[in-house]
Amino acid sequence: MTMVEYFSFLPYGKYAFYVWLAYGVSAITVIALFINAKRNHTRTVLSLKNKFSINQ
Amino acid sequence: MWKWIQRQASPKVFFETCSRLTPWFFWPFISLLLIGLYWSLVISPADYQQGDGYRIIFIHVPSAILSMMIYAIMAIAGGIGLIWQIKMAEVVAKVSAPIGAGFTIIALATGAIWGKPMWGAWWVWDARLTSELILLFLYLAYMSLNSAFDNPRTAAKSSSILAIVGLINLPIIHYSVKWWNTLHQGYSVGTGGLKDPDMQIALGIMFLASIFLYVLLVSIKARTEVLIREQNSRWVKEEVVGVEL
Amino acid sequence: MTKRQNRMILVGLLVSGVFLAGYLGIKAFSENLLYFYTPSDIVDGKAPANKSFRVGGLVETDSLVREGMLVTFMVTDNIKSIKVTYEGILPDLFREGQGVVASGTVLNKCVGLTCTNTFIASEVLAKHDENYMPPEVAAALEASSQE
Repeated sequence: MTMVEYFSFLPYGKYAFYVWLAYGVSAITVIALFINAKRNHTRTVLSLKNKFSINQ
Repeated sequence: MWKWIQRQASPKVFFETCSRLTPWFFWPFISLLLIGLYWSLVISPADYQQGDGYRIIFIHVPSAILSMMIYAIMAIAGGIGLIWQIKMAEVVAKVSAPIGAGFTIIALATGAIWGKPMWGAWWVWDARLTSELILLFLYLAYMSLNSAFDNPRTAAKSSSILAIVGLINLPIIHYSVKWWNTLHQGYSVGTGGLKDPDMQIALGIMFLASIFLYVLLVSIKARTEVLIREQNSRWVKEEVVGVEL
Repeated sequence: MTKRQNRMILVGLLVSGVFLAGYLGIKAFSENLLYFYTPSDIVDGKAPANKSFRVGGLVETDSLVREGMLVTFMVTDNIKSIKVTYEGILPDLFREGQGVVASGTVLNKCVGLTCTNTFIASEVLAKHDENYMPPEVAAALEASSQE
């Protein structure tokens, strides 16, 4: 059984695999961008905090 | 007017503006996204030729437009940085690159996934697809050039020149379907395109959501970048020490 | 002249230089950027001989013939058309009246004095247009165009 047939129980039948794959890939990319931005910010703030507390 | 711009472009004021912007763009983005997804996946009717397979368009077209729009913003901000030496323009240009690359990846990936069932191929080397792939390489080249220098000013200068040179790719991407025979279809926005009002609304909301996502990500990333660049100034110290994690 | 004006001119020169170079480059390589040739190009001899290339156009209505896995159909650009043969699975969107791009070579067969070009396709891709609408709208458009 191909992937396309396997996922055809989902909404959109024979196109389910492609539609959900496209939406899934996009969601992962957006979430990755978002988490990366947040994590970079937290890391930067932390390392600056360390730097300032050492200098004091 | 000039004074106002100068004030806005000072790192501290810019940082505060970004901090204020983030929540104002986060919740509208989430709401627009949910409404847009509902309109794209539930309300919009199936297409007469492609059935439900065409629903990929609601992600594919907005991200493709954003991938080009962000590149233009990046190059223009880079140019402003070069001419007027406004540091915050350099920051906007730098943090836009990975976001633009993300949208380009989404446009290319959803395009490939759409191409397989409809055209019969994941990828073809026609003018539209090839020029969009070059856009991704331009973003990657910009990012690696920018990170190759220790001095942020030198990095901004050289990568901005690269961004401006790459601007030529934008009209090529846009007009590729008109100038040459391509497998890719013509414009989805404008004269041709979505004939059903629900399809148009869905696409419009998803496009708006993408713009909000872009501004949201810039407002977060720009703050990080300003903190790194201005780490020796007093306000950064006060700002950072005051933050509870 | 101030330093700022100097930089402005430099950036302006950079932008115009890049666009001039791009314009010339596109003019020079325009031919190579074509993804496919039209049936008219083939009849006019513009398509490469002895080399694999692509032909694109619309599948002519009532021209599709299936013999097992072998399919033959006419591809037209509404001026000229060419016969295409293909053995394999056709994409979902392949149908009469719709766009198609086939890659392969031209075979020139002569029977007596009449010679016909046949395009032997090794791959067939469907090309759809940029119009998206529900079936009811499509039917209504069809009906109004026939009135």
